[in-house]
Amino acid sequence: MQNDQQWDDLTRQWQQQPVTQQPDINLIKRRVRWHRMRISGLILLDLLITVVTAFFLYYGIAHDYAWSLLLWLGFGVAFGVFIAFRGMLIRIKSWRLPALSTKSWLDYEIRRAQSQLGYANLTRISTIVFMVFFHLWLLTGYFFDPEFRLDFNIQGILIYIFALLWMSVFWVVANRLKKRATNNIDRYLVEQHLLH
Amino acid sequence: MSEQPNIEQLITLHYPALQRIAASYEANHALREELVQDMLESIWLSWKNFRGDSSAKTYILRIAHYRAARHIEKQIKRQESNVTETVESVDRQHPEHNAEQQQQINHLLSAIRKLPMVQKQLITMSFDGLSYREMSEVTGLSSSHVGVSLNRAKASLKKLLEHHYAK
Repeated sequence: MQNDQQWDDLTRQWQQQPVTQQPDINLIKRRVRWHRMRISGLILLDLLITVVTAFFLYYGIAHDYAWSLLLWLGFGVAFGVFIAFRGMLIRIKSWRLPALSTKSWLDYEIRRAQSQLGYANLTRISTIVFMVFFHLWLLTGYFFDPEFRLDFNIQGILIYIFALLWMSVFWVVANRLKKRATNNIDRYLVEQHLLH
Repeated sequence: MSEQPNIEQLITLHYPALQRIAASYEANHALREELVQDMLESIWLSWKNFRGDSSAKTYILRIAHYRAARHIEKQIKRQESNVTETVESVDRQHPEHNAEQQQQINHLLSAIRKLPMVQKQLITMSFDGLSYREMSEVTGLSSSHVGVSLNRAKASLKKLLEHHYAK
């Protein structure tokens, strides 16, 4: 702004904005308490998911379940542990997030969005790999294993449908995450570009 | 040596500035209130991590701008609220402000909201009287870069305001 007077006028207008003078400290304390409880609860939930899926695998091994079911459980545990621990890391990070370093928040945001994109891509690839192996296993069993064919009952079909639904949810969520992360990266890169 | 102020005193001291920052990002009154609360919560949570590498003021403003940027990220799909709503919300809450003042403030805020994020931050900090060094602490840019970017931001704001008044 070349005109200092004009700039002073704008500064005055800015400072004349109607504001409330006193914050509600009790409300802030309540929100902080709720924030801590929520994150603690989510971390506990992550731990619980991991323990329960691991327990199912242990139970299956201890009771000599068929190798096909153990394979299923093994995949489930690996996937569950991956998702749960990743979730835990994100939550712990979000707890500490406001404590920013003195580095540029823009660089920080770009790195965060890139990390989100990496996670989304990893989840998408895991889902595809899981689906491919799962169907290969089903087809191999169906065509080359007579015992497997005998076991192919209504329960098996229900498990199959459940697995498809579960993986579809992962696929949709991962794609939404990917889209959001890509949009954020684009937006922050434009911001960064405008600075140079 | 004076005792370092506690977080409650600091929040009270910077509360008006936080509200002004929120207004530069969010036109919708209810969402703006929510944004201010988010800022306060983040500042409260992170205060224990303050090591004195910068001033308390720039630490608080950095968190506030960061929280506002995250707010924009969340609201990105939402269409920008129209000016009328802002005028109404100011009217309801602060009848002591006359209509002309409110119009001027709303035009200014509307133009600031159209600026790119970092330009918006520099302009609002400049209005609040921060030095280049302080702006540098908040944004992470070098002081010379702050100077160049702030001049660009001022030019952009001027254009936006001229465009608005020419209509």
